[in-house]
Amino acid sequence: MEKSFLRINKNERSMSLQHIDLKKKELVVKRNGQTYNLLDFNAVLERRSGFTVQDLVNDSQVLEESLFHEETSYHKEHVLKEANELIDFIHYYIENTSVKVIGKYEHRKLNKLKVLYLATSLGLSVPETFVVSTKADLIRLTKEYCNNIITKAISDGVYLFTNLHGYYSYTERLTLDTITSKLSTSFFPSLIQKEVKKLYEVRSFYLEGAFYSMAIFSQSDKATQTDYRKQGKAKLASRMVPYQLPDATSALLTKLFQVLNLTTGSADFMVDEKGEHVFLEINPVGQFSMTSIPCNYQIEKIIAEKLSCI
Amino acid sequence: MISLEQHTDHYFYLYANCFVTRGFSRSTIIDVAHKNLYFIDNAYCDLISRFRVDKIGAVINSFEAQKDVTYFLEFLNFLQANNLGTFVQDITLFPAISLDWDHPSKVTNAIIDSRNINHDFEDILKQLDDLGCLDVQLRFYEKTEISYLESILELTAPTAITAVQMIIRYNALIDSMDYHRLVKKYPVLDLIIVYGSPENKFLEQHDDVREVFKKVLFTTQAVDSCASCGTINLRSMSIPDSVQGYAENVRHNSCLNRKVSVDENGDIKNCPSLPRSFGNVKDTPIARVLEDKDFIKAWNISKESITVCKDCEFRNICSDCRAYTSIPGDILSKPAKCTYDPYLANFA
Repeated sequence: MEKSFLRINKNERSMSLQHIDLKKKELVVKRNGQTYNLLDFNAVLERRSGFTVQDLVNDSQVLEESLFHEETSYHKEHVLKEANELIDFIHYYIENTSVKVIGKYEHRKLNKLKVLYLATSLGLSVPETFVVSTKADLIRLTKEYCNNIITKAISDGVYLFTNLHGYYSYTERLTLDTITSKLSTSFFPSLIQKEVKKLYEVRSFYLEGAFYSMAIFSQSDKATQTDYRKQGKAKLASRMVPYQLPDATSALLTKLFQVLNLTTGSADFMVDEKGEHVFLEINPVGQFSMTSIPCNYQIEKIIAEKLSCI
Repeated sequence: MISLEQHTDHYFYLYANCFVTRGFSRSTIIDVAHKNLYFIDNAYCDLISRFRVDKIGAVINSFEAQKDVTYFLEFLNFLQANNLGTFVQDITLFPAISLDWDHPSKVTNAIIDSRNINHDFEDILKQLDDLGCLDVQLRFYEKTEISYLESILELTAPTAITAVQMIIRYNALIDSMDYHRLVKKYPVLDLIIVYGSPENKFLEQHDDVREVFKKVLFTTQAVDSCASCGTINLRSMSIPDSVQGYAENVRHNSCLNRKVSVDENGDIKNCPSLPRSFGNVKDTPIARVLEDKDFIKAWNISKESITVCKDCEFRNICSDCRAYTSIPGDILSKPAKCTYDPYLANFA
């Protein structure tokens, strides 16, 4: 099994789009001096975005030009819109001319709240979830749940690294103290959930009907109690081991993936002290290495085999 | 201290990445996640195998003497205190880890020995790169100039080789700062070992560039030829960084798997110290050697098939050596330079 392949990374400045010809069925890119018609490829695995604006706009100065005097940002926004429409089509075109597709571009983003709503309606257990915008509501919730509430981003957390600082946000516990001292009377609508007291976390990578699950024990360390990703201060690496979802949970989760039309993705659960599997979210561009490597699932190999078996 | 009443209805789950190896005299638990090794009595090794079948309560009920219950409790405390396992309600949710091993590269590591002759490094490295080789060890049995090492390192630039180790002879005329400059200039250069040095030390870090830290090692050990290799002791063993690494050790030969060697005469071998040549690199493509079943055979000599080693509790973390064996010519006998006796559980 040896097939030639091309890996396109986001923001890889060495690649550029040459042309698209609908009649001749050509989508030609140039990379490191070589040209490829991406429609010649039979199989595609998509994780996040392959093409970005930078791959289309060779000269970034173009974006900064101010063509419309009263609205200085109009030009940039307009070009970005054009670029995104084109990027959308590029992925669509490649997917449609491929025999085998794993992970679709249009599925790269899911609405967390929509997914939670769907999960509940299918019968999965989810954390109690609220969107609040006033301090009074938040204090009420905090008291009702005895200080056990957390907040996280509605879409994605902050993840920004500048030359001087790294800014990133994870799931954080809220305390009455912080709320009363740091928040104003009203604020931007924010996602609040009742904290699940976890025994362990579960991450399940789904690929065409099969689950590759991993349990993450991180409770013994305070740094990772609310979110295992915060390992910076943890003394011992979290214990990551193979896991088998209970049949009932696995059946409901499969249904959720089907309803969302996803053939792949990563689902997160918390397992509480009663053994209940509380569904948190699906990451449609789910990282599989972080499950595959500790559990020795060889998902890389499984994907490679699926892509080449056409 | 664990209260047993609370857990009689639970199973004890030894984390799947904590591997138990039973030896003749004692057993080991290798915690791959934290890179720790623990010795346990073989009786406890049997007990652990019951954890997947019996709840704590059932295990306790099977003991006749009260002191066995006490020992058991102490053992559970030991496992929990070292974070090797936890109590769970349903053990079937926690399957064992697969020890299947594979790698996309046809060759993952290579050794190239040099003495007096100049190999065509450009050709050899290109061939290794085409085979997906990641780690390359270069051993020089003569004094080498820095500029020569540099010319070889330049050749790795167009390749996907991730790490190069150089083992070179001490040369009093070379300023140690030259080694420092070399590792700084070539991040691919993972380690330089300078043998025959006046003292044993790592080159001190001279600036705040973290990558140069501990990349130049001076050792007084004399290395005259490939015959200096193959020593097995506690220092030569290491717990792999990943389950894959552990699985490779269990399923394959920990030294020779996916390895290609070019000896000082240019002969392609499993290991420079092994007698059999599969052709000279001057006229035999490495890829063709890989098609030879005899060449591949050595990759699959696991410890289970080696006499003595199969009874050793260190077998799954051992570096092994198939070139210098205790019974010369018997490739399935214990490494000659291993000082451990698993029947007595001591190092000679």
